[in-house]
Amino acid sequence: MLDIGDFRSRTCSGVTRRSFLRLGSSLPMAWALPGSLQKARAAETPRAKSVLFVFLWGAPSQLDTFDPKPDAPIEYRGPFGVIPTRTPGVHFTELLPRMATRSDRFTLVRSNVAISSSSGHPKGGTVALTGFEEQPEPVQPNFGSIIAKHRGHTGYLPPFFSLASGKLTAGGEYIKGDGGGKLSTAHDPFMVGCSQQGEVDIPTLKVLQGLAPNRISDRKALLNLLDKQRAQLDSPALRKWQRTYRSAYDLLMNPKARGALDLTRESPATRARYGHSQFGQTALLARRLVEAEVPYIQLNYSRDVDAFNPGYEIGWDTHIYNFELLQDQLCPTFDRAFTALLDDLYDRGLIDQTLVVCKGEFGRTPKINSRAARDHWTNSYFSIWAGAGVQPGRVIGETDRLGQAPRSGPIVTPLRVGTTIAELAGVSTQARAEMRVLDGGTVVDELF
Amino acid sequence: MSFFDRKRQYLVGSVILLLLGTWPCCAEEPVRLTTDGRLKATPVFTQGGTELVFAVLENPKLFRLMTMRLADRSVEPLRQAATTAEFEPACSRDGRYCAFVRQRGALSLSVAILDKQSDTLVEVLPPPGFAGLRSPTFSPDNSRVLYSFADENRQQIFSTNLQATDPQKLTDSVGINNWPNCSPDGKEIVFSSSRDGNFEIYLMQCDGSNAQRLTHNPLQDIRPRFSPDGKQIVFVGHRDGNSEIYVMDRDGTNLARVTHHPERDDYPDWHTDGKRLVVVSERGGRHDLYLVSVP
Repeated sequence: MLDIGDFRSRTCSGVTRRSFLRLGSSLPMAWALPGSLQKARAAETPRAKSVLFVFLWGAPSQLDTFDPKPDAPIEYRGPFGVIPTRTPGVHFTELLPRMATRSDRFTLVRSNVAISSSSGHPKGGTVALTGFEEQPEPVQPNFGSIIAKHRGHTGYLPPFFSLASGKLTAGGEYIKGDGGGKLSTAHDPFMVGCSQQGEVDIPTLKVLQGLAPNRISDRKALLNLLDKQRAQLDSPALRKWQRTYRSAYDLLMNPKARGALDLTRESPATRARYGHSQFGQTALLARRLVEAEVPYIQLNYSRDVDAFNPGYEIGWDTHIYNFELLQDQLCPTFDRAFTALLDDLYDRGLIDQTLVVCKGEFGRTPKINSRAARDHWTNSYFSIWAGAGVQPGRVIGETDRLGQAPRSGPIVTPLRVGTTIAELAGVSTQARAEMRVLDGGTVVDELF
Repeated sequence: MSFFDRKRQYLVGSVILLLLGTWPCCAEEPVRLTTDGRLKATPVFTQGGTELVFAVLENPKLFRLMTMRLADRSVEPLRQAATTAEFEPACSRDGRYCAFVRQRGALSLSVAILDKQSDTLVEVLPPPGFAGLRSPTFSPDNSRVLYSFADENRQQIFSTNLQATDPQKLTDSVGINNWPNCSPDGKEIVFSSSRDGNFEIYLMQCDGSNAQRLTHNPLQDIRPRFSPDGKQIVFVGHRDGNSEIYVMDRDGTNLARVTHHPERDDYPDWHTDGKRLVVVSERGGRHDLYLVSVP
C-alpha cells in the first residue's frame, strides 16, 4: 500500500498537510461499472460519443453578444454595433467577428430561460449544470455525472472532466451541483486546469505542481517524487478523495492518458489559433479529450464568476464595466478560442460524434443598470449548439424587442438542455428513469 | 530605341515604381518590443518617450503594471508590492505622477495616483458596493486627473485634482462616455461616447462644453489620443472587420489606417516624436507591444 499526493485539510487544530492517496490493488476504480453492464453500455452507440459543455461562468450578456437589439432605446441596447453573419438576416454584435463568419457551423438558441428563484451565481450554477435547484437536497447530479455513471470508465481516461484550476466558485462559494450529487461523489468530475502557456495542472495532485505530464519520463521518477511527499492517512473523511487520486495516478502512469493532456504535442500554429490565453489553451485541451473519446468534458471559461475579484480569474459577471470587459477581454478571447475549437472539430471529422453546447448560467439585464452595466437576468439568454445531429446555421427562438423574454420558439430550460444532452449521449429515457435523474425533462426537438 | 529596349525600359521602370510603392511598407515594419506573448493592455510612453508603462496579465488572476526602458527593453514591475490587479496606467508629462486603476475588492475599482517622487499614493475612491473608476489620464499641466465613472445608468467623464478632493463632472449625456484624453495645449478633450447609438469619437472643451462628433461609423471607434503636436488623433476602430488602428486630423478629416492585420491591434499611444505609436498587437494568438510608424 502506498500513500501519495497531498492537500490541505482543516482539522480542529487548524490547517494541516496530509497525504492521502492510497494505492492498493484491491481498490475499485471510481467509475467502474459491473463488467456485464459496462460491456452492454459500451455496445450502445450514442449519437454523441463526447459532449463538450462550454460553461461561460458568470453569465454573459445576451444583448451584447448573440442577441443584439440595435433598435431598442439607448438604456437597453448598449454601445456596440452589429455585424451580419453567414446566416441570412441574423446579426451578432461587432465583438464576435469570427463567430459571425461561422454561424453556419452551429445553431443559436435565443430562448433559453433559467429559474428566477436561482438568480444568484452558486444557485444559478447548480441549475445550469444539473437542471434543478439546490433544494431539496441531495442535490441533483451534474449532467456530466449522469453520463459518467451511464458510460462508466471504459477508456484510459475518466469519463467526466471539468477543466478548471479548481472547483468553480462565486465569491468563494462553491457550486453544489458541479459533481455527482445524489449519484455519489464517485461520479464527480476529474478536474484539470491549464495555464495560458498550456501547462496542465491537476488540482488534486498539487504535489505535482510544476511537473507537466510531458515531463513525467518514467514511473520510477514519478514514484520517487510522490514518495517524498507521502505521509499517513489517518482520517476516514479523507478516503473519499482516494478515488480521485487513484485516477490521477493511473492517468499519469498511462502514456496515452498523459499524451491526451500534453499540449506540447500540438503544432505551434494550432496552439496559436486557439490563442495563448488560459481559455484558449484549455479549449485546445478539451479538443484533445474529445479525440480521446472522453464522454463528457466541461470546459469552463473562468473558475470564478467575478470580473474583478482579487485572486480570481476574470469571469463573465460584469456588474460593472460590462461593455469594456466584453470588448477588451472576454469576447475577443472567446471568439478566437471557440471558433478554433469548432473549426478543429469540423476539420478533423469529429463534429458528427461530438455534441457542443455553450452557455452561461443565465443572462444579463436587458436594461442597463445604475452602474452603466448589466446585472443578472433569468428570463432570457442564449445557448450555442453544434454537432451530433444538430442542424447548424439556424437561430431557434426569438426574444421581444427589448430582449426581456422569449416571444416565439421553444422555451429552453436548463432541464431541457440536460435532457437533450443525456439523450444524445446515449442515456435513454429508461436509463434516466432508472437513475432517477432529469425527471420531467424533454428533448429540444427543434435542434434537429 | 527598339521595341525590346522600350519593353525593357518599361519593365525596369515598373519594377522601380513597384519598389517605391512598397518601400514605405517594407521600411516601416512594426518593431516588436516584447516577446513573452502574455495579454497586455494600455501601454503609455513616459520619461520623454524613453520608457513605457503597460499592464500585463501576469497570471490569470493578476494584472500588473510594468515599466520598460526602451534603450535595453528591460522590464520591471512598477509596483512590486501590488497584490491586486492594477492596470490602465497614465503618466504625467513630467513623469512624476502615475495614475492607474486599482482593484480594491470584488467589483470595486479606484483610480490611484502615485507620486513617484515621494512614493505616496492617493486614491479616488468608488462608492461602496459594486462600483469602479476607469481610464485615468492627466491634464497637460499635471494639475488634474480625468477618469470615467458610471452612475445613474450612464457613464460620465470626471476630473479631480491630484489630491482627489474635488471631483467635477465634465460630461452629462446618455450612454457611455469613456477614454478621455487632453489636447497638448489643455484646451480640449477627445473621448468616446455612445450617446448617439454606438461608440464614436467626440471633441469637447476642457470644461466639458461644446461636444462635437468627429467620427460616423456604425461600428465602434474608441480609445482616442491626441498626437504630441495636437494635430492628429489616433483611435481604434472596427470599421474594417476587426480591431485596427487609425489616425485622423483633429477635426475628423484625413482618416488613415495604420495597421493592416487580421488579428487584433489595440491600445495605441503616441511616442513623443509624433511619428510612431506603441500598440498592443495580437500575432499568432500572442499579445505583444509593437512600435509602428504613422503614415
